[in-house]
Formats: sequence, structure tokens, C-alpha cells
Amino acid sequence: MWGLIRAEWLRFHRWAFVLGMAHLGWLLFADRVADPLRQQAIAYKVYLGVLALLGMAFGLYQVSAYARQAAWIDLLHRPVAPRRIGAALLLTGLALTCVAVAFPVALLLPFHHVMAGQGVESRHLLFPLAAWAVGATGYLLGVHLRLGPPRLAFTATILLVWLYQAQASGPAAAGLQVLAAGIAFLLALGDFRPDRTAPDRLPRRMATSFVAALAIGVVGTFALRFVLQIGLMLVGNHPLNGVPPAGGLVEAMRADGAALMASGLASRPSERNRFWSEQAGLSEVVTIVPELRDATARFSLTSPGDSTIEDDVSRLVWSFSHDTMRYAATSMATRRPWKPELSPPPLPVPPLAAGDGQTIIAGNRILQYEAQSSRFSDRITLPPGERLIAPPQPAWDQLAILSDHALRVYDGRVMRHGDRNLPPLATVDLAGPPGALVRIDMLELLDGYLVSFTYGQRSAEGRSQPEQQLWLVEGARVTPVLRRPLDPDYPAIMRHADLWFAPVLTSGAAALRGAFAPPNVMADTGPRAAPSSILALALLLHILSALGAWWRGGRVLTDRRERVIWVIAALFLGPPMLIAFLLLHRRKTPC
Amino acid sequence: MLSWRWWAALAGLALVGLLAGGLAMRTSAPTVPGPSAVEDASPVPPRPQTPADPVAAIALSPDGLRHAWIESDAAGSSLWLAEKDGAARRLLRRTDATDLAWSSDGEWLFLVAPGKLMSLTTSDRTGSGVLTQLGGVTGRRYLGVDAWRAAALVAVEDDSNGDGQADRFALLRLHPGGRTEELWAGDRRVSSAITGQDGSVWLRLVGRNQVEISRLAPSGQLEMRYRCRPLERCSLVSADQRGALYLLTSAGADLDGLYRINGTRPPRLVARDPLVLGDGEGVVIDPVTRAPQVLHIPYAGGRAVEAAPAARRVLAALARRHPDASEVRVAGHARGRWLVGTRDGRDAAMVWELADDDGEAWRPALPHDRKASTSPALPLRRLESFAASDGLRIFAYVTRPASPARSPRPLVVLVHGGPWSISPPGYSATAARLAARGYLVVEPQFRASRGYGQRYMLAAGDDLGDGRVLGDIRESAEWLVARGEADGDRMAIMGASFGGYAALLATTLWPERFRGAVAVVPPTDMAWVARYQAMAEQGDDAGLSLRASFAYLGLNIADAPAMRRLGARSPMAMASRLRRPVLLLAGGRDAKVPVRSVNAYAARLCTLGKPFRYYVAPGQGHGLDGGPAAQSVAGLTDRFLAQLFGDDVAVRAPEPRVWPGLARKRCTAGAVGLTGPGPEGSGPA
Repeated sequence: MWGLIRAEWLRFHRWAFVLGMAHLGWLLFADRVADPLRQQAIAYKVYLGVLALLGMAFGLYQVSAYARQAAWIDLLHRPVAPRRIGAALLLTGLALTCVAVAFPVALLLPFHHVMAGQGVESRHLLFPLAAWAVGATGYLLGVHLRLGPPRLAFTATILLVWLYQAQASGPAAAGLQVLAAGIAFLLALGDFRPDRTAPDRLPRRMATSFVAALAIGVVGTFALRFVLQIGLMLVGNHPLNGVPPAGGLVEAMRADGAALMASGLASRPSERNRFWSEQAGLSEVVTIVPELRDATARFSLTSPGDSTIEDDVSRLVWSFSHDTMRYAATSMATRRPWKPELSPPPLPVPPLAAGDGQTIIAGNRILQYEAQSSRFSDRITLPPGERLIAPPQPAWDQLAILSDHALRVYDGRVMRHGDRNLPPLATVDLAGPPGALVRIDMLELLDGYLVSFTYGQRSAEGRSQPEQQLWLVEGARVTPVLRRPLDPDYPAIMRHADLWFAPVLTSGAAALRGAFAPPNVMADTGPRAAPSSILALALLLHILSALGAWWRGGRVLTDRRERVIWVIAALFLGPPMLIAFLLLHRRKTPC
Repeated sequence: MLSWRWWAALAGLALVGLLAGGLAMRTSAPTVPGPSAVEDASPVPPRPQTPADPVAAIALSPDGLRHAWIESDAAGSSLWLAEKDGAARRLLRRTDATDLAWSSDGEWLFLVAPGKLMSLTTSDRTGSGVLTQLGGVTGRRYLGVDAWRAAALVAVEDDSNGDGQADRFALLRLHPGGRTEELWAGDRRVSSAITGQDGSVWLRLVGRNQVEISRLAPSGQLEMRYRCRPLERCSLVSADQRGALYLLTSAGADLDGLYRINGTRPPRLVARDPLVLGDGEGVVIDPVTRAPQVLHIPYAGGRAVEAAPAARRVLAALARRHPDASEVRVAGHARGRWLVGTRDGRDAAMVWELADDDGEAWRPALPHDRKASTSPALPLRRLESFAASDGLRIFAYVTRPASPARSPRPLVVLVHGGPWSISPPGYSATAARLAARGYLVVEPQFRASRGYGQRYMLAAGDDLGDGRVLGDIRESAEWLVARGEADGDRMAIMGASFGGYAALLATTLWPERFRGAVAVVPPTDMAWVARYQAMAEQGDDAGLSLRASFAYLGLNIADAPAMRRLGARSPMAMASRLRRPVLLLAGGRDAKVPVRSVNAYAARLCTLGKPFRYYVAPGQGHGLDGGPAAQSVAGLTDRFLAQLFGDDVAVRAPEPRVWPGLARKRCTAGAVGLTGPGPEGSGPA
């Protein structure tokens, strides 16, 4: 085994070092032009995606040399158990991945600490592990793609999709990446057996099929929606093309605030509504969009948005430290830490910088940084348990603040005088789930506001019911004006494709996406309601899947008990499981 | 090697993911429209040019031998200096300064520009440059020059605990070159300050609902010397060589005058309007003795009256030299030389001259070849008066076209804002422009106007609806009709702020008299706007909350029945009675009359189908004076009046498609769906 490890190391170690040096050089260059430790998630996703693809290419290349039958026999004809041979190859590959991926990232940390001035935090120590885990997952999936079941191995790439979409944060995210690498390791290790054409035992076949069904369920749902949308385009009926359907959500999303208000008011004609409609047409209607959908969490590996403050007056750069939960300053001139007279206040969650870059949003608090005095001042504090879901929005001479509980309107001077001196002028509780909120439009009346809430976020995926609500706000009194149901624009068969195609699997995938994730109220789009026709279709498809599994099982299976198990699985997991069953039991001899 | 199926599967997976992801993003991301666009600035309509005085500021040096001024033209402003020999040289080719003052030793000029205070040597000293930043986060405000030292006085307001409220106040003396002395620090705002020869400092300190004049002794002891009454003008003028303080105030009387305070004795009157008509405002001080020489009475004839015997002869000579002057301004006196400006009511430009003490030698103060009097072909503006129906004497500026009248002329009533305000004395660009188009223009200084004593100002109380104030305005028009100067069938009314309110109210109540109205930033419900302003304002310069100020002026916001009465007689409440066309203009960022109140009125007119036009200047405040909006307002007004008065030539001229700086707002003719474009709103006024 050690000889195999040594041989494999000698085979690739130069490449690994060259790649590691190139990787390190790129990281050091990136450190001089940006702060690679405090980037947003999308930047890390692109970077890790490249690492995963490189790892996958390496895995494909490494085992392709052994995959042909003669070479395979030669590889496994040793006085070592096949699993140990596989472990030797895979562990060597993981070590090489470590050289090319983890070491450069680890070396970046002290370099950054010395050169950039902005301190390395404890969460950054997970960066080498996280980068290596993603690279290793790619590598192991490459091995599995080459050695695994020919028709099902590709479905294991769902692991990368899982990592891409996972909502876990901080150490949990790193743990999830290691877990994915572990699963990929087991998949790849299982491929090292003398006769790769021999059928597996039932539990392994069931597990392989389940992973495949999961991938088919998730990707298939996407594909179904995609195909249905292509169909809508071909018949010229797609709501996003041309003029959107009247009374629909797309129309409401594209409308300017005044037109949206007028449209809502026109649904209940009255003298008062006509007056408001005219007033909306003449006035500046303020629109607020809940942009801050992701919650910030301590020790997160990514930054949900820009939180750095650049003070050109005092020549300081303020960065937020997750270790102390405070801002810390670095001098632009010396790149050394700068200690202020008054320590910045501790924040409950990592903040975001908004607007002019001097306004800071931290959970339920809004602070203002004053360049003249290099001081942070609390300006608005929402009740505990609330979280801002939109940056402060100037509204005429006032300021609109949107949280996951309510919309509040403050005197515009609140950012100078604070909410202790200027409490909210009006508060409107959200009447719907915050995650379903698409936009808010406000019309300023003489002594109050007319507020339009438009719900329907993710309604194209069947997640919420599109609706427009109008509320009249007069001081502390908030009264409903009207509710106008909006058309979801897309056919139910597209919106609820996950329900009729793979309800259990897509629910499971959603649970996996949210595993170890910090709570995020913006994920709540309200209870799901599907037409009974969709439920009937789902029931029909699941029964047909079970019948299909029974019919096909009669031809390819000899064990009646195993046939029943596959039928139950198909009945429970639906068409994706049937497809996985069909793919698994038409295995061909590998080349 | 991988088979082609592998690669095809991977590529397909990636393609599906990309396309589906792209579609998902398209379906979930709301499209938020940007702010409504201001009308495009092309093509540019003809803009009426607004005449302006090219001399923005002028000052005589303490030795009386030199004078400096800021001169503006289309390209910008420049700073000029006339030397002892009369030769003028340009000190600064371009400057953003709007005001200037000489240092006490005559070696420096202090230039006040937006956001900064600069010092500039007039000899060869070093130290010219920006003395300090002003306003904004600095909390600094220029107060004036130190009368006894070559320095400027600057007030500072600081928010020491970061709660957004200024809580520490100070007075600084800034010397050219940058040396700074803190003269005083405390917990009250310094609104103005002057220095005495003995090192003392006189402070006008503003606390909550309280203003007082205090003396800061050289020992540092602060002693209150005069407590100002509510709404009383209380302006520091000077402290003379003997330590007496001169104050511009009413001291409990009706008219503002110049008073002397010596020690703890009560104020003694030094000068006031001998005709007992107008308030005093603006004082000329001798640079050596610091004693007042001349007091201006700007609103009751634009006169200057003597505050010391030394001014008697020159003022008499001035009256002989410019008998028709509509405004006289003495800018300085030093060592027997007087710098005097006169305006004759025809021209925006003031004519500046230098005179000796006897008033016998006069010479132009500016090097340009300015005429001593302007062309008689320009409209002449004069202050006149008439008796109101209750017998009170009401002042009014009347601007008559220069051409002789063969028949009564169309009349435009131009109402000033406030109402506790005043029309500009001397020259009005708006009145001149309208008169040049052949209209007779009257600017009634109705009761509630300031400048004619407290009794005149308080005479209206809260009678701002269909009452005494509107009566004065209407009677000013009828007075000219009765005199045969105005055509009673061709009258329009216009104004800004309160003037717009009065215009809407007048044309609503008396459509048989006023054929239309131009209302610029009008409060459409005075009671609502008063409540709004009182809520929004933190306090005024006098330390009074706006609510308290209104109450002293007779408008008690807490008096609910009175407010209801006022609201019931507002243009908003009486919109259904409007029969005449109206031109409405509002500022999108107006802090005094919020645009939503005008929007609400316009929406009411829409639902009632009334004829009106409505324009909003986005980003503009109460003045509508930024960018091209002001000129567009003038152009729109001219066109609107031409239509009202049947000026065929003007009406036939094609209207510009856009008015720069203004966004036209139209009715939607009721609630319409998103896909159904509404018809054009109410017809053009």
C-alpha cells in the first residue's frame, strides 16, 4: 500500500507543487488588489467552483490510467485488499489536493496579517479546510465519475450543487463541506472492486439509487420548469416576454409605484379611491424592495455584503471583526491598526454598510459613522427579534425602515438626532410572510400614507400567493383599504412541478440546503397551497411509477421481496426513483 | 478516455442549470422603476431673462480711501478694489464669495462664500487663504468682523455627545494666518456678536423661547443687559468708544428704531423713522468712533435717515440729487467720505457714488460708465398707499408700464409670501417683467406685512381666510380700477407661498374679478401648513418655537375651532367653487409647503374636473430658485397671463414642449389600470 502511495505521489507531486505555487501567487496578487478574506459569497463560489472543477479534472485523469480493463486487473492483482488499494490512491490524491489547494490558502493568512493590516480572524482559520474540502470533493467525484456505475455516477455531482446552495454558515459550512467530501470518498472508495460489472448488494444499490433519484428529482424539476417555459415562449405566451398579462404579478413587479397603486385602487372604484389614484399619479411614490434577504451570522466564512467603511477624511478603513464583534480601524497611510479614542460599540450580528457607505445595518440596529469624529452613533434600534430586510429608504423628507415585522416611517432627521428624539411617525405591521414580500410602495397623503404591499416572491415556484394589499396609515391608526389577488402568470403545472414530480425528494433537498443554517425569516413565504388537480396528478404519477417499477422489476429482478421494496420506493419517491431504477438495472459492461 | 456521453451529460447539466437559474432569477427579481424623470431639457424654450444687480456686495475701507466690491456677470463673480487714486484693479478674477467686509485696520478683506470664510490681503501681507470652513459638520457660522482687531468672529455649535443636537456653543476670533482665540463657550447659541474697544464682547444669546443681550467683560464675567421681547427685533449694531451699546429694536414701541444702551439704564432712542411709517433696518457705523451715522427705512420709501449730525448734509444733498429714488442705501462712511447707492425703481442695478461730508462733490464709485439715471422707457415702480375700506392706510408698490396708457390696462396683483413678510423694496424683477409686457402690477403690502411696525403686522391675527388680509389684497386692485388705471375685466392674481394661497383663494372667491391665478408653492390649507411647519421646525433664530411664534402673530395652532374655520375657508376646502384657470407650481423638496399638500389639492381639482396646469420642480425647495426652474416658472407665468388676457401674439406662439427644470403633472382621469393609459387630464388652463 505504501509503495502504491509513494508511486502515486511521485507521479503527480511536481504538478501539485507547480499548481500550488501558481495558486499561491494568484492569492498573493489578489491580496494586493482586494481583501480576499472578506469577499461576498458569490466570489467564493466562483473560486471554489474553479477548485472543484480542477479537482474533478485531476480525479478523472488520475484513474483513467487504471480504468481500462487490463490496467484495472493489473492494479487490483496485488496482495492488498481492493479497498486498501483504492484508499491508497485516493489518500494520495487528497494529499496532492492539499498541497495544491490548502497550503497556499494557509500561507495567505500570515501574509495577509502582516501586509494588509486588517487582522486575520479565527473564522479565517477555516479557509484552508473549506477550500481543500471543496477541491477534494471535486477530485473524488472525478474518480467516481470514471469508475462508478456508468449511467448513475454523474448523479453524484449533486453533492456540488448541494454545496453551492447550502445555507449553512461558518464552522457548520466547513463541516458540511467536509461531510460532502466524506460522502464522495465513500462513493469513490466503493468503486474499487475487482469486477466492476458485478451487481452490488441491495443496500448499496438502494443507496446509489436514492442519491440518483435525489439528483434526478432536483435537476428534473428544474428541467421540467425550463421546458415548460420554453414551451410558453414558443407559443408566445411567456409572461416575461412583451407586455405582461394584466392583473398578474409580473405586471405588478414591473409597474412604477403610481401605476401599481392606481391599478389596485381601480379594483374597488369609489370616490375616495379615485382621489387617491389621482394623487398617486401626481405624487412621488416611494418604492422599497426587501433586498437584504440573507441573514448575517457570526463567524460566517463569507460576507453577505460590503461592511467596510472607508473614511477619506481621517484616512481610515474600518473592518468588522467577528472575534470582537466590533469595527476596527486601519490607517490608509501606514496600513497599520489605528486605535480610536472611543471604542466602537459591539454589534449583535455582523453588519452591512448601506447607502453612502457611512450607514451601518446590524440586525435590528442602524448606526451612523461620522468621519469628522471617527465615531459610531446608534441612530435607530428596532424592537428585539426584528431584523432589517431593506436598506434605509429616503422617503420624501422622511426615512422608511423595513424590518421582517413592520414598515416604519421616521422623520428624515432621525439619522442626525436618533430615534430616542424622533420616534417612528408611523408603524405598519406586515400582514403577510416577509419572505413573500416583493415590494412596498408608499404614497404620502396629507396626514398619513397609503401603503401598498405586493406579495408573491417565488410564486413561480409555487411558494407564495401573489397579492396586493393597500393600507391606510394615519398616525397610529392602520386600516385595510383593499386586497387584490394577483395572477401568478405561470401555469400551475409549472409552478408546482416539484409537487407532482418529486415532492418527497425536493422537500428532502430543501431540508439539506437548510441543514445547519442560521434561522432566516426571509425563507418563510407562507403556507403552500396547490390546486387539487396538481395533487391528483402527483398521486397518479406516483402510482404509475410504482406500477412501472413492478412491471420492470418482473423482468430484471429475480427476488420477489426485492421487487416489492423497489415498488414501495417508487410509490414513495415517485418518477425520479423509477428513472433511477431503470438506469441502475440496465447496466452495461464498462469499457 | 471518457465517452462522448459523459461530456454530453455534463454539458447538458451545466446548460440546464444556467438557463433555469437565469429564468428563476428573471421570475423572482422585481423590476423597480427609477424616480420619475424630469422632463428633458431639450428643446430649450425661450427664457425670460431676470435683471439682477451686478454688484453683489460693496464695502468702504475704514480709512475711507478705498472700496471693494464683488461684481457678477454671466460668467461668474470677480472681486474688485478701487485704490486711493480711484484706479480700480481686479483682485480675484473668479470668486464664489457672496459678501465681503474690511478688517478694522483696512489691511484685509474677509470674503464669505458658501461653506467657507476667506481672508485676502489688500497690501502685501502673508496669510491670505481660507480662514475656516463654515456650515455642515463644522458647525461654524460667520458673524462679522471684529471692530477693533483685524479678525473675524465665528460662532461654533458642537454636538459633543453625538445625539444629533448641538449642546456646546462657542465664539471664536479668527485672525488672518490662522490664529484662533476662543472668546466664550457656553450652553446657549450665539446668534450674533460684536466687540468693544475695552476687550469686552456683546453677545446675542438664544435659549429656548428666550433671547437676551449680554456683555462679556474682559474679566470673563457674563452679564445680561437686555432681554428681548417675543418677536421683537433685537439686533446688535455696535459698541462705541465709550462702551455704550447700540441696538436695533423696538424696545416695546411700535416701530423698530436705533436705541442706545448705556450701563444698566433703559434703552434710549437714537433714531427712527421721522415719518413714523416704517421700521428701521440697516445702520451705517463710523469706523473710528463706532457710533451709528445713518439708519435705513427700507420698506417705507427706501429712505435713509440721520442717526448722527454728521450725516445731515449728505442726506439732504442726496435727496436733492435723486428726488425719484425708490431706494437709498448708504454702504459706508469714513473720514468724510460716503459710499452711497441709489436705485430709481426702473433698473435692478444700484448706482454707487462717493460723496463728501457736505454732499457737494459726487463721483461714481465704480469704474464703469454708469448712467446716473436709467432709461425712462423702463417700467417705474413706486410705493404708494390707499385707504382700505376700514380706513387703515395700506401701502402698495405699483409698477406701471413706461408707455402711456390709452385705456385701462390689464392688472396683475402680485402678492408677497409670509404673510408676515414684505415685497422687496426698490426694485422687483417680476413686477418689472410683467409691466414690460404691458400689465399694470400692484404689490399690496396688506396688513400682516412686516416693515411697518408691530401693530400693522399683528393687525390681521388669524384672519387669513376670506377676511381682512384678503380684503386688503382685493381692495388694492379695486383702488386701481377706481382710479381708471386698471381694467376691472382683465385682472389676474399671482404669488408665491402665502401669495399663492391668497391667489387661489381670491380667484376661487371672486371669479368675476380675477380671471385666473398663478400659485407658486402655495399652502392650499393654511391651518394644515401651519401645523405641519410647527411640527417640523425645531425653532427659529429668535429662539421661539414656530408654534409660539405663530401664537404671538395671532395664529394659535392650539385653537381648534379657529383652525377649523381657517381650514374651511382654504382653497382645498373650496376647490369645488373654483371656476377660473389656475397655474400651480410646487417644489419637490419644499420643506415649508410640502409638495404632498399641493398634490392633494391638484388631485382634488382632477376629480372635480377643474381647469388647471400643474408643474413640479423636482429637488427644488420653497424658493424654486435652483437651476433653470426659476426661468421656466417666469416663462410659464408669462404665457399663462397672455392666454388669460387674450394676448393673441403670445398665445399663437408655439408652446415649448418642455420647460427645463419642471416636470408636468397630469390628471389620469380617474383610476386606471396598468395597461390602460388614461386620457389627458383636465384641459390646459
